[in-house]
Amino acid sequence: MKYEFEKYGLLFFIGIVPVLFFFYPIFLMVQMSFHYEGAFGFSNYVKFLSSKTFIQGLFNSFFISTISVIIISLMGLMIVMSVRDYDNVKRVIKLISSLPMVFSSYIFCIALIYAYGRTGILTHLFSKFGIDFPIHKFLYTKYGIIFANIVFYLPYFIIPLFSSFEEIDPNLEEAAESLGSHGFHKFRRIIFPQVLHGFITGMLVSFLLIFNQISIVLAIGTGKTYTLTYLLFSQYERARIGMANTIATVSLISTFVIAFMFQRILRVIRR
Amino acid sequence: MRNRIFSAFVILFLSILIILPLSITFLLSVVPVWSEAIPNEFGLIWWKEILRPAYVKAIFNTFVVAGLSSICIVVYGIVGSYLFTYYDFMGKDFLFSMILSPTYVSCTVVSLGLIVAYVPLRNTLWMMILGNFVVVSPLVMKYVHSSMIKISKELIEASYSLGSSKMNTFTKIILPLSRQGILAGIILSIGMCMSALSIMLMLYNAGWITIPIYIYLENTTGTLGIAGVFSTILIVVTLMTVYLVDYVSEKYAGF
Repeated sequence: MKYEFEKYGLLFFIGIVPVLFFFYPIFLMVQMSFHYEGAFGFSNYVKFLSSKTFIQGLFNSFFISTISVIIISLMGLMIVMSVRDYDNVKRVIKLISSLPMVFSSYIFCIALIYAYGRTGILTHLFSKFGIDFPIHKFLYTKYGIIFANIVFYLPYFIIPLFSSFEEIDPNLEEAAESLGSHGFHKFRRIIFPQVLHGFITGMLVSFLLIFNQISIVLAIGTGKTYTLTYLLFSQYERARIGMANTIATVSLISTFVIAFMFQRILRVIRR
Repeated sequence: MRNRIFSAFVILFLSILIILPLSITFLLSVVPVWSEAIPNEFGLIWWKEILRPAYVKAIFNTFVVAGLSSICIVVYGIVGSYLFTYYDFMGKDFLFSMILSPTYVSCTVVSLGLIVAYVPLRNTLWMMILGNFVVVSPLVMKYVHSSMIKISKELIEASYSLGSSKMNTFTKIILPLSRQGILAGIILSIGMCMSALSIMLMLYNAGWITIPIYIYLENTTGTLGIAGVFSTILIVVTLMTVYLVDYVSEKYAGF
């Protein structure tokens, strides 16, 4: 009896928190997105769909996230593959990579601008050697945001992928080699299938984080390149709460659809 | 040999990408006027500037908000981990996913939801703490849970069979043995709450401006020296966080 009382007491305390502070606010926000000038309706959504700015923002969010994740996953895979046999190198890379994970992305972007911007130190240093360092040419565009995303979110992909590689049974690799499988063939037929689950999960996590971030767009986009989260913030700042709720709902639906798609892929892989 | 060269190249590449920009932030704080690409004059003018009461208050606010948020986050993380590790109930996985869900939603969406739902708390210190709590607590719970789940069940049963109460077992066995996860959680929580901008952007109030908000405001008004000083302070805190998490993980790895 006492055990049951304790269990349900703890369960109530732990369970009520996400309900009160996450699901209830989200529910209210979605509900309010259907209110326009005191009446229930789809006016906010009609406005959203008929606005070039909002549609562009939605497109930018998907474009930036997709390109960033593709590059991150390819780079991450190459990095992890090349250093996985060296424990010391792995340790150094994990340490360097963990920096952005606890670091403010906004400050990181300011630093990137001072390093790679038009008048940045690196741009200047390279120009002294007659090299035109190309990053400054696109840093303030959506490609600059993609660059910042790659630098900032690469660790979120690398660190879990290291764990996936550590779980590979070395005997399996040895057996493959003794049967004549080497190089790309070994990677394609033996290694990659074993880390595929971690690879897709890493892609999902990176995609959702990039899709939902605002700081990088604020610092580098400087109002010219905007995503859904940026538009949400700007609508809130202009006290257009109804439209902010609508954008937030669209953002939530997009997040849900992306997560659902990745979950389907993971289910297919498991089979 | 070829792999070694490539490993060295990877480290160099990541250092240029990640560490170099961070060191430039420090330069910003010691260059009085950054008018040319390579600065030629250095000084501590911006460091003296932050001794002004408004800036000192921002530092104080950051520690208060991060401290209070972390207390709530860690207590919730420990209790939640205890529940998920030592009790069986229907829908356990579902509840765990529910708790983790704020991690994958935009901070701006979370902030807007809190503003819409809790109007009386709008622009108060409590709202800032709540924002941090919603976003950071799932991560800390994950950390503590992964540490608690490694404790041998036999050890807990032995404690009960020797007549130890649940509370005694919790404080004398479970807490000490899961200290790796708890300490890492505390450090991570303080680090994340101190550098949180996305969540604070919509929740902060004029009386409780924190360092990340000041950096944002100073950067938009063009006073980059102060932003550099604050960024350097945050970098130091972050580096200490990373180092401490690494140290704690290494030290208690055997438990």
